[in-house]
Amino acid sequence: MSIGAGLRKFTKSSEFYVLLAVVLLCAVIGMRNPAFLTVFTGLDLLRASIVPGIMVFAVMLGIIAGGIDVSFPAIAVSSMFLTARLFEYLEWTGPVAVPILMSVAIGTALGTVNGLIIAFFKLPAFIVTLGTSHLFHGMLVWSIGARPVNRLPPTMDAFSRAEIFRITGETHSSAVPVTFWFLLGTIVVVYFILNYTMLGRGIYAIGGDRVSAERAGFNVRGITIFVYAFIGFASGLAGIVHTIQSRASFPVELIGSELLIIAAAVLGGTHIGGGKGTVLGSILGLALITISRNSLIMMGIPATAQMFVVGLIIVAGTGMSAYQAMRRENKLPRILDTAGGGVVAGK
Amino acid sequence: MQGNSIKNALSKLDFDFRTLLADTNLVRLAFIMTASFVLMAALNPGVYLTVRNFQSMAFQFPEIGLMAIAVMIAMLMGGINLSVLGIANLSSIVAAFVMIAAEPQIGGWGATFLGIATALVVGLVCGALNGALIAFVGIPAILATLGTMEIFTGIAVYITGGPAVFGLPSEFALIGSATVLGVIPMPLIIFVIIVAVYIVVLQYKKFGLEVYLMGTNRKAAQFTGILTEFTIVKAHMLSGLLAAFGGIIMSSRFVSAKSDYGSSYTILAILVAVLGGVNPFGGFGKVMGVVMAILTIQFLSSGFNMLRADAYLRTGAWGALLVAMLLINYFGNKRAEKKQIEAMNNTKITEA
Amino acid sequence: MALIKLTGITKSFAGVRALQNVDMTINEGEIRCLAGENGGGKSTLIKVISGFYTPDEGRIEINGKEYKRLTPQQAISEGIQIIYQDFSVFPNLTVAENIALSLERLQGRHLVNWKSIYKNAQRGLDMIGVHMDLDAPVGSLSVANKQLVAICRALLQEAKLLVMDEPTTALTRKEVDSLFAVTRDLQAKGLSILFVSHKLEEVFEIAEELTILRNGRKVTEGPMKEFDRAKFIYHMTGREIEPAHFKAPEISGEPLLRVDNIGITDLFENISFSLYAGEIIAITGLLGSGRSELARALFGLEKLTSGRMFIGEKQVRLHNVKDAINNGIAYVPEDRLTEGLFLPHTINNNVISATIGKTLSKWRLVSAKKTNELSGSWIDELKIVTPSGGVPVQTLSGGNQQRVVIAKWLSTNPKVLILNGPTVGVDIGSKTDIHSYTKRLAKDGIGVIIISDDIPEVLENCNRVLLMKKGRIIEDMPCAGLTAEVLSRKLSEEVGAGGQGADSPPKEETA
Repeated sequence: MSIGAGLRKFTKSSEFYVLLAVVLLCAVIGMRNPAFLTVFTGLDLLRASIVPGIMVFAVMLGIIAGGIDVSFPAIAVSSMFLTARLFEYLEWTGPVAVPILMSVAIGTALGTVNGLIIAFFKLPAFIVTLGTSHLFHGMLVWSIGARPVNRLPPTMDAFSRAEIFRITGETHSSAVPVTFWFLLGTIVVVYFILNYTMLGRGIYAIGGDRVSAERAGFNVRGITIFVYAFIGFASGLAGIVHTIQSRASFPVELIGSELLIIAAAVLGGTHIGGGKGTVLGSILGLALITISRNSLIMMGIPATAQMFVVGLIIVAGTGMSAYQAMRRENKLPRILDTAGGGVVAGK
Repeated sequence: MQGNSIKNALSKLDFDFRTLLADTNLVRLAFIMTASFVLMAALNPGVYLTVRNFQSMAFQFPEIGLMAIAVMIAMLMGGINLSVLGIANLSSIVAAFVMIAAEPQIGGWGATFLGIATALVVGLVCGALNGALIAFVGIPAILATLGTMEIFTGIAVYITGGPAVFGLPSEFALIGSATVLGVIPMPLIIFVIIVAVYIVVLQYKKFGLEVYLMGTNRKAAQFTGILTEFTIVKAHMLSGLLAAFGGIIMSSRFVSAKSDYGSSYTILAILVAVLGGVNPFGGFGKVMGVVMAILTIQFLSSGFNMLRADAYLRTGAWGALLVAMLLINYFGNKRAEKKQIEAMNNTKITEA
Repeated sequence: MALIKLTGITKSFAGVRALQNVDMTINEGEIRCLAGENGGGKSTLIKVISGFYTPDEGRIEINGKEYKRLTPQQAISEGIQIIYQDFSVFPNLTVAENIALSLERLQGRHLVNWKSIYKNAQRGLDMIGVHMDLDAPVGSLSVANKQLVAICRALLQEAKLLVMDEPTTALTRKEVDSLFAVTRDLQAKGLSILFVSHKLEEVFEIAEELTILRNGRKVTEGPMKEFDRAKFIYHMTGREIEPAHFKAPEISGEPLLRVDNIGITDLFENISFSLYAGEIIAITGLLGSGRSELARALFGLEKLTSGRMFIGEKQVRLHNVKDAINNGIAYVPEDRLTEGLFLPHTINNNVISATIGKTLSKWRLVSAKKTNELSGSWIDELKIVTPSGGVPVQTLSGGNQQRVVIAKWLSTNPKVLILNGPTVGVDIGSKTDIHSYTKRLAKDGIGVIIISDDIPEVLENCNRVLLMKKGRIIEDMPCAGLTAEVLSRKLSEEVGAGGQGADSPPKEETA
């Protein structure tokens, strides 16, 4: 395919419209406040998008497979808090990789429980994960107590200060923390799974038509369990990254962010009914949500109006594509020939 | 004995006992509700079975109960309503401003009535917006109401600037604090009346039956002569109205209105609806089921309170209850399905 | 030589025998037809062949090898491929992936090799000599092309036996012809075909060998030439069905329905006809001729952009289905599952769904008693086989489901009844019942419009037939004297472009 044809194809994709929206939003904010269009804002936004970003791509995987997981913040906070408390108790001074792996392992285990219930009983993921999110979070915090961890083990604390690079200007100084690699890693892994593995094509297949996937010999149960286990895995990672970033661990954080994360994936063109969604789209959706959450204030929109504006963006963004899809679906294919025109070809 | 206690617990409500027995899901729920009541009474001897406890329970559950029925209506259509809490808070905030402004002119009672009317109108308008986005724009309910949740709460945050609105008429506060005949809390009475009305509207009116039918197949509903777009809008308006009632009771109990009151209610309302046997795929679910579910939650909640149980334990218990209920229903429905198929097969054999 | 040999296959579900002692042999390179009414055991037998069901008793021999427990994977590796009625394609994936993904899986790959997917997909298309855009999402294809994708997918997996489950249900006549051409071509390449169908015409057209199942037993088998129409129907149903003819009634008075030059931009135009009491008229045409669009417009589902419509003497404008119902029009839709029924709901609720108003008590509440009475009377009237009206419709057979849809519409007391494909996917017994019932309704003074391309159905049940092509009625003819052969030819002839009306002779086109 030539570059021109590829470009033309891209302009027809849903990603293109999200990109347009992101550019437009940036331009408008930038016009109102030139300070927005600096590298510092970019780096700050990048930093702010690490934790939600890791979760967006995991959730996207679930939505493509046809299920909406809402337990990921609960899993994230459960894994990170349990890990933080455990390593605080151990007075850990060893490598930072161990607590990270621990949190990821807890997340994966909890996600697997979701997957088993959803796969074996064929229950709607939204409702199951609504239940398990309360179950996991409530029981875990109850059993270890809600006392927050205010001081991380020294190795974790040091890790939280590690930066990939820093740019210092006259008045500003912003850095990309090493935890950014985790976001990048998640994106790469999800991209690879979705596009280059049988498993990934199976995720699209079961989201497109579950029964057909079964008939085609896809291990639907296995794929379903993998998807939710992966969401658990990524949540565990997002949780511990959040703890590292905030240098403390509280048992109530992240909860409540689930709907915005889902909105980011959906604004990026992930089809809420399953079967469709791309990594690029979700990156743009994430950008859209992150910018509107963090930068509207730079545009002179008061902090109190931000929620309203974010809501408008969600409704307008999902509304446009939904309306077009509805129009397309309701339109009957043309039958009559135009007067004087030739015979309409076969199909 | 068990049947009697169910009857006692529900005798206050307009309710036909035979329809309860006809519906296995409801029987199951009644059993779970009774069991949690008995369990909590046994764990808290002396304090649980007191008028005071019953009173305090009856002050607490109506607002979430109403929001759960609001969620149920959306679920009947195969959708969901994530914006109930947003509607509740926004309508009570607008009502609060109206009441504060009107009280000096028309007095406390006048302002209260005006405030209630305002809240209900706001609820209807919010519901209509949800319905229109779903029916006419074609946004899936989960996304539409997620967006409007942000919008409604966003408006509430913007017009209040964040903090709670105080200075409501003392007459308005009676809605959430008064008792009738010295014992029956006002919220309970409101709840019972609204539940009765909604049972009639949803389960005995033509409109309600159309909602249930449409919930399983919107296209077939259109082909049946049901004006699906308007039915969706109307049903969401009914949902919004309930949310507004919830908001009125809530703000009256707090004698103030705020954009983030009841922050856990959204999830709780969905949980109660599902616990109450409402099918998230649409078309099935009874108001009485939701009522029993909210009572179950309240019985457990009060019991936990008395046991000084951790708030997290309570949250965990709700989750466990929901998951358990899903599994119980799963196996129950499987058995019922098998029976149906067998009955069908037997019919065929006798016909042949 | 026998490719697959089934001996004494018995399978029961919950104590009910779905298959009883069934023998069947499929030889290499033969086209065998498996016929039978719905519920006769055809689909159970397919599932036994494909390894999804393990029979309770009996032997399965494939290529001379006996299988005790045939698994789906074994069936596939022995070259058994099923083309399901819904084709089991993935609408969200491309043509290339739909065709070649299963092969990649079969080869045990865990990573996706896009190059080989495209190469194999093209190879699959070449096998049946078809061109398609490999990057097109399958959801955007026509039904016929989706089916071809499914066939290519099966062929790539080295199919030796292709089982086609009711493959022609959603195809136009022309598409059926090309499907049959592909089928014969595959046979010539040595493939065996098991063609599962209950449509008489097609079975006679394509099959060489025939096996008929009824109530889970094999009732007969043999070469196609040993069967004629009557014998085939007798074995399918177990009863003789007299070919009945519908006699045109005396036309008198005002028409029940009259349309005058109606049209919808881009869809159809210049449609005029009248329907009198007691008449059954057919609107026939191929898929995509505008017949269903016209039906939708007559029922208020689409808005007319030109012309006038009269009910009796009154001119009406239908804005929605409610208007149509209020004007005494009823419509039994084409696809009962998606357009006609609330599957998880009870028979009662389905029957009363269009007439809830009739079940209201004096308090304007839905009365369970009235519902039961109304629905019960229709269950009796239309002989719906069910233990009670409280059973979900999804547990009924296709024929009984269709009766529920008809009951729903008859309970509105229509003056005009539009039946769109009233017997699609319905067993022969129910088909006969529905036909004779329709004629009774006409006798009682209802005007009926049947939209169908089932030629015997049209000829035996209607007094007049309107032939539609490309959005226009090109012929309006009485059924008396019309033969199946003539109608069939008229139906498949191409029509020229432009504004030619009924009087211009149809031109031959090579598309």
